[in-house]
Amino acid sequence: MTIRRRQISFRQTIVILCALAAVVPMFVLAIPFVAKLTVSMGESADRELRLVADSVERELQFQLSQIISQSRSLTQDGDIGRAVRSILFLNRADIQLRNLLTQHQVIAGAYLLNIRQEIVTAYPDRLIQIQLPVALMDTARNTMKSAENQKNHSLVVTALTEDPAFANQVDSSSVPILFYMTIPVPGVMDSPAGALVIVVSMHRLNQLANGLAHPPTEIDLKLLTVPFQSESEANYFGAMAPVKWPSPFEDPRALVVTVREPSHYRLAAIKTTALRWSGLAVLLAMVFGLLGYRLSRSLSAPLALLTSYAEAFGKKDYSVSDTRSRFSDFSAMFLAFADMAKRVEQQVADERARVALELNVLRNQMSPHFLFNSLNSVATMITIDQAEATSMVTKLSDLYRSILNASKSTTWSLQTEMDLVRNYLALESIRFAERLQYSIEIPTELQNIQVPPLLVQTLVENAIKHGIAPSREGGRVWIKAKSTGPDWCHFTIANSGAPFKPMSSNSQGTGLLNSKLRLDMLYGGDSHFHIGPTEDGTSTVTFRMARGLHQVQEDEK
Amino acid sequence: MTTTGILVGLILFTVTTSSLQAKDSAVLWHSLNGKPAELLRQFIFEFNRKHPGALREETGIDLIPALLTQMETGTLPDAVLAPSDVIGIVKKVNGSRIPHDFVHQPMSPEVRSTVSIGGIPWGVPILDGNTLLLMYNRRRFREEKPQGRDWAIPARLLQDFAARFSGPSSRSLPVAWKFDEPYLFLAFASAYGVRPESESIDLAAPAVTRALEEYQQLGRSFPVLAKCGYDCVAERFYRGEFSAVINGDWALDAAIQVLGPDLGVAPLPIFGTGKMRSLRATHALFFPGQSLSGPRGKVLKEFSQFLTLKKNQKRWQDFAHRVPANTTLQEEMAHHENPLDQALIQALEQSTVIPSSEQMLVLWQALGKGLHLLLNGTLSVKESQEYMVSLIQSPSSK
Repeated sequence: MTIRRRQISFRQTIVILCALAAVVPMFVLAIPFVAKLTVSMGESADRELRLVADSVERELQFQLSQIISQSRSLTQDGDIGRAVRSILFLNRADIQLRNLLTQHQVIAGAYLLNIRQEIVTAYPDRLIQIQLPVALMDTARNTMKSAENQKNHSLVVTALTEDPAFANQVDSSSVPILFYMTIPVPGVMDSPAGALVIVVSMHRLNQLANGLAHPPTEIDLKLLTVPFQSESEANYFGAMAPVKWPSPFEDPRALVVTVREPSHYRLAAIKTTALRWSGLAVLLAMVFGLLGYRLSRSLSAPLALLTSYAEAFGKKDYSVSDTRSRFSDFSAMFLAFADMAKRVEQQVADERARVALELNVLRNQMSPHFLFNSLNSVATMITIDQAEATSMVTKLSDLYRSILNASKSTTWSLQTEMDLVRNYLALESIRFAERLQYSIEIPTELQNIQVPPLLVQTLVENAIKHGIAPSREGGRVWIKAKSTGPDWCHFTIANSGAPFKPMSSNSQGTGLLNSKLRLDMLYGGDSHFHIGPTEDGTSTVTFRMARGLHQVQEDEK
Repeated sequence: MTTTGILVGLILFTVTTSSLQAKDSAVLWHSLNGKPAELLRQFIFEFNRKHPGALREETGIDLIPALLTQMETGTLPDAVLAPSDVIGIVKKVNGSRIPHDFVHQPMSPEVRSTVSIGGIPWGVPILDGNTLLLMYNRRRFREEKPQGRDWAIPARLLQDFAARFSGPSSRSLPVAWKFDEPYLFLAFASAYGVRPESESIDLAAPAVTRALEEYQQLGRSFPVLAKCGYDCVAERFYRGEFSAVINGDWALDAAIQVLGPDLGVAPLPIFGTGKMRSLRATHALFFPGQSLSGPRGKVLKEFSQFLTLKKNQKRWQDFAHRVPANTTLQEEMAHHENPLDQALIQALEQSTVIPSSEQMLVLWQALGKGLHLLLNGTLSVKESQEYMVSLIQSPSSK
């Protein structure tokens, strides 16, 4: 079973990596930070709300203490005392009550009652027509009685009323709870002349408390259900009791301040920030992704170009049109690729030429004249000497087998070449008889050097063709090779007979030209191929070959 | 004796003599403002030239509450120059009766009645009037030529007012006054038959109910009028926001100073079918704490006589545009060519004397409070009337 791996392009990789590089650090850093911040803000919120609660409690205590204190002072005021006895001081009493309420917004109203609990005056004005509940009047009466009995005009009696109708009329709020204070107004001879009733609104207390906090923080005031034990003035606002109870002096209560804040308030800021960061991360991912895309295009374009060149190479197109790139590395790569392409192209061209040349050689070797002449000789020999004819056919067979073998490799040993040359010369000797003389001088140490196939044979054939064959007397062919150093050996193929003629476009020139070309292919100009006459009239072809030339099989090309 | 010792001695002497002088000076409380206050100060100055350090004034005091309060502490002033209805508390503050030959000044019965309770005089009238006047900007009205003593009544003016006040459909506000002032309300209520009786006014009377209803309706028809305070009859009148205002003769001098010849004065207009009648009182000297019998009684007598000298009485008229209590001078004013003088006298004649009684003091308080509660919508007419009556009848009014 093969597992097929899904491939992903370079461009996609770059884009994803860039986007991740922008986004991942942000989230990796932001998430723990946000978590920590949330916890910290929660703790901070708790502390702040506790501080707010403490502050509200202190403010309420202060306000209510102030109200008690100022109300007591008011009852001691001469104008108030005279007002409960004479309406001539009504205006002054109104001013005093107005001042008191102006200073304390939590006071919903104030009544001044005379000795018979009749309303002398009230503030705000509309309270004139709002009769006090019976229970409150009873409280006022009892307060005055107690003050007289105890000789205590500092008495402050508080009570609670849950009379919704009265509360609504006084305070215009839906909160039915009011608590009020009755304070005796001293008259002559330590007898109270009246009473001051201060009505405090729970609704306004709530408003006062909430005014101390900033939205969305809310403050709620509630009365404890458990009776409050302390009777000290500082805990006044605990000294309350429902009017409905038999006695208004029992079971003082306390206010509980509760501070609330919606949990999402502070977290909203964090959430908003987190959302913003997420949005920013997405934006960054998009931006960096785009940049990555551009980058990848810049990077992959040269690679794509290189790919196209490589594909063209496969189609034997070695042209590299554009070697320029924004990146120096890629430019260097293109230049190297172009250089390689050029060399490959040259090599391919050379190989083609070599192959063409080899084929040409082979084609030349396959010249029908030699075969024609040889077969004629064989035919003649058959009638004369069958054994000789058979020998000729054998040699001819060997020769052409060798020629066929020559096409399989680019080189073979000098020994093989010389065997072929001997066979050839032997066959030519039959044809030319005494007209052809030849000598071969090849040192033993050179037998194994690699030479291009049919190189020497071609030159020998050329020598016979242009030197021996045209001459009536015939001539001699010398074949010599000698070592000229560790790397080279020198070859001479000379012939006598017909005088030397310079190379031309005829067949003599073609064989020599092919040989020269073959040597040039192998050695460039280092083969020193030379052809020319000598002083004694022989034609000589000299060249050199490397002693270390490796044999390359045809199937390895 | 060292220099220091001399200096200390001088300081002690100065302080001692000052305090002695202060102790010997008679203290006069009053509630006058403007030109009348200035004139009174001048009188005191002139009097003190003959009687060095005899008298000093104290002003800016809420007289009734202050007197009642001071009564408790025993530090009453020697004399009080106040509207005659303040005399209603003369018994509470242990005031001195005025002896028969205390001053020699011709006084009309009306003037005399303002300072008498039960036929017994308790004060010395100095000024007469405290009447309400219709003050108008003459540039806004066409006046007819005065005919005899009816000079001050521009017929066209009255017709305009009558027409404009004929019903709530009227849009323009012809005249303004301090709407929640009981003194003005009673003048308005007089058009509906509300009159002072012997010692007080019966606030329970149906006429009062009617007057309260009309007054409430008037305020609703003219919200600008309903909100009018002192600024309406002063700055806003002078600026021309109101063409005419109803104000007391105590404000006449200030109006003259601002408007000059453009100020016109006329008696009160007609409402419906009734004509407004102002109340009337004198400004009188009275002497709480039996001061006439005290060490400064002589000074007080001399000062009273000084103020009631005819030449000094005339100075109230000439300088402060107030009507003197001297009847002879009043008669002379009536024949003056000066239209203002004639208007003042005519206003006096057309006004009703306020009873000088303790009940009136209570009434002012009750009326003031009740009117305030009516006009601010706290109480209805019936409720406010009942409230006023209850205040008057409560034990605290006694």
